[in-house]
Amino acid sequence: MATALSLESLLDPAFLESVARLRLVARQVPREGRFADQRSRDQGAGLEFRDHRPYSPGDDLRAMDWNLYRRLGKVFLRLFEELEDLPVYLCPDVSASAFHEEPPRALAAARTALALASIALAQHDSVALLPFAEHLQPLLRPISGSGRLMTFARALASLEPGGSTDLATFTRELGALRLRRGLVVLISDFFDPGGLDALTTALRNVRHRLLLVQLVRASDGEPALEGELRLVDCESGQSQDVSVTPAVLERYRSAYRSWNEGLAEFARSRGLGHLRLDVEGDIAAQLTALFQRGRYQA
Amino acid sequence: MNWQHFGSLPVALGALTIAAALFALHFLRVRHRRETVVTTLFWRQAIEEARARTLFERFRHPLAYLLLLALALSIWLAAAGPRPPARVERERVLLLDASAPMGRGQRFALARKALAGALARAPREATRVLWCGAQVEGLYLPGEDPLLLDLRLEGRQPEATPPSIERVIAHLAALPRSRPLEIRLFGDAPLRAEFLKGLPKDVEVARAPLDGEAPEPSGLFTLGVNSAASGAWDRVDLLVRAHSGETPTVELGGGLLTGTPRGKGLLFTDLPAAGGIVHVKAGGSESECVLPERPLLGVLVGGDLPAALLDCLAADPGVRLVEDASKADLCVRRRGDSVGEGLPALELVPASDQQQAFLLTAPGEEPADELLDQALALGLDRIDATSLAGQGGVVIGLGARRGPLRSFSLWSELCGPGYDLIQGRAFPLLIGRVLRWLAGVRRFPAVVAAGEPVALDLTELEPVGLDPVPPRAGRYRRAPDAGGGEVAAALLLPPFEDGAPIAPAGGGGGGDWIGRLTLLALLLALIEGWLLRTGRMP
Repeated sequence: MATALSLESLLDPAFLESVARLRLVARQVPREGRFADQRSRDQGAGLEFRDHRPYSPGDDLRAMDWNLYRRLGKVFLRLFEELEDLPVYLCPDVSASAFHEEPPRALAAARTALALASIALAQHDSVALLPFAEHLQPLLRPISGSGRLMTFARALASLEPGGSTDLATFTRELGALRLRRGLVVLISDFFDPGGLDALTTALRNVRHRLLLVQLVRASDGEPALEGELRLVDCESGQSQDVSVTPAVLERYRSAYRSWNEGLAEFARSRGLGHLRLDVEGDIAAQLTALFQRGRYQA
Repeated sequence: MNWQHFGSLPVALGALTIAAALFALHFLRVRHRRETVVTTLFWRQAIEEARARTLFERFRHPLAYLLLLALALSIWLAAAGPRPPARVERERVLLLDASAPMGRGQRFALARKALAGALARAPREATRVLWCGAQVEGLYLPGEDPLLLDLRLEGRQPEATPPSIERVIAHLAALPRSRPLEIRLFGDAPLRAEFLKGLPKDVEVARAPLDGEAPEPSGLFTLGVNSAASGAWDRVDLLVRAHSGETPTVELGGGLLTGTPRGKGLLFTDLPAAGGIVHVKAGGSESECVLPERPLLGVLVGGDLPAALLDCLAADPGVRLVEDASKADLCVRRRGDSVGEGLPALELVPASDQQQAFLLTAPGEEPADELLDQALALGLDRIDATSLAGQGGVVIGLGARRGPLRSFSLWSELCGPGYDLIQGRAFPLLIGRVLRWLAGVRRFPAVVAAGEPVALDLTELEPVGLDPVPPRAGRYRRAPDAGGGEVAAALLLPPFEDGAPIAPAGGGGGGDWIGRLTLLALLLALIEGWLLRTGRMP
């Protein structure tokens, strides 16, 4: 099993530079947020004029449009756009499978999380780090400000292998936190022992916008195994005796392909973001592909 | 190598053991290699799908078991050397030709190989093998283990005898039988078409094909040498019989000889008995014969010898009287005469000086009985000793002793007027044989044909109401009462003629089951490999 992550392996200036131009754009910013760059439905003391509405008793008289009153003889209020932040909850999978192979999926997960955090912090959004395995392990409360990237990176570097993946427990515990609605980025291989049904059921319970970053490698679909094997699950420790023949391999490929298609279909039907990220490939390039024209609308 | 001799029960038990062992092996747990993976989720699904097609939970691969069992049993049975069910509707005799022509090249080895193959395929209970050489011998009897054939043929080679196949077949065909007879010939012995036509209908004869080149015509001469009919001691007659139908060309010392027809051959008379080599050619074959050496005996004669004795010496065509002792081979003298000192001698001795009437002296270690036999062979057995004893009133005895030189002494009185020894027909014979014995001249044998009856008494043979047959080429001693001496039997090879059909390959023994089973095993192995490669078998 791979060892824990290091700060040096994460802080790659070139990598961070390559994602600096990317932006996260929220379709809908939750109310009562901080002042930031995201356009919210709140109307308040922003600088950008948005609309007029009739005066109602109790409205702030400072917002009355006196020019309009002089021309029309009716009282209207000037409404301004409120810019707020988008909470971004970065949830890397730290189950044992994330640290099993080389390079570990955890490294790709951490670099992805760092890249997204860099983007979010740069646009004054708040970022939280909520790694998970069998349970949610809140590691960093929402922080904001571009100067907090190092804090975030240190938190990432402290990630350690957990137990097995349990998305149902994770989503239940995530809901229990009653976090302000935002963007939950799940960075995982999604190899939930319960299979695709358990996975989709769990994800349906998430009350946030979801971006699924699926960590894959070529050997997932084409395992280089043959002969009489006792396959041991690195997370649960359970073993499975398999005579790996071409026919069994073909059935394995079929099962993996079906699972993948099911996950993609689920994301498409729910309007979730879904990125298949090859952990052995260029992380920045694959992330860039997600940001069409440099923007990802969450 | 196989274990045919184990019988069917051990082979069946072995097959059962293999089946049980393979069955047990299928229950053994496979030793798995441990491999850690990120998830077994998809492997479980793949295994679940595979299990849905199996019949049993533990014994999961019955078809694989059956395939392996068929493969193993094929190899086992091939090694067991199976034989087809015995065809007992006919009796089968395999004849191995061991006559002289089989000594050419590898013919005999090829015949042995073909015979062993045919025996392996033949029904064991109804097959026997006969050795057809100088004598007919059983090599394999019905029901025996075929391995015995190899043991009985070990070290055996073709014999200097003419082919006897036709005689053997005729004998077999004449024996009473309850089933049709199938005869297979392994060899090049001729089988005449007219002979085969004369066989009973239920006797089928065929020649087994041998690998290698077909036999070439050879052995077409019979050469016989005998004393010259003209009576000349230093001359011989030569009889040449060629069997190729061509007139042979006969040369002696580079000169072409001209013979006169005699029966089926040519007779060449009065050839010098000087050790010359006769070269015979006919029909692409050649042969040679060394003529015997029979020089004239140089005899030195002493004084005061009886006239009858001198007449015998003068009449003997093999005797040349000499006066120079250095040119003499022996001498004839009275005892006390100094002539021919140091030479073998025929001596006349006064009866007062010698107890026996005839006394043989010879060097060497031969026992006395042997010497007496030699003395009798000189012709003394033809002398009427009783009559002589009556005439002289003395005992006529024969003695033998050791001495540095050969000598033969007899009473001088026997050559006188009081006895009729010199008047009898046996006297010249006695003198002639004594002279040749003294000079060490060996009689060369008469020549007869091996394998054919001869009207001679041969002590090595035991005729039962028939003329003896020299079984093979060689020398045979004639019975003493038939005159003694030796007879040389020469090969008389008949011309090669093949009227027998060629037996089909395989000998009708039901096919090569070992080969079939081996091919089946190979085919099953290929199927198994294909199933493994395509994942249809674990």
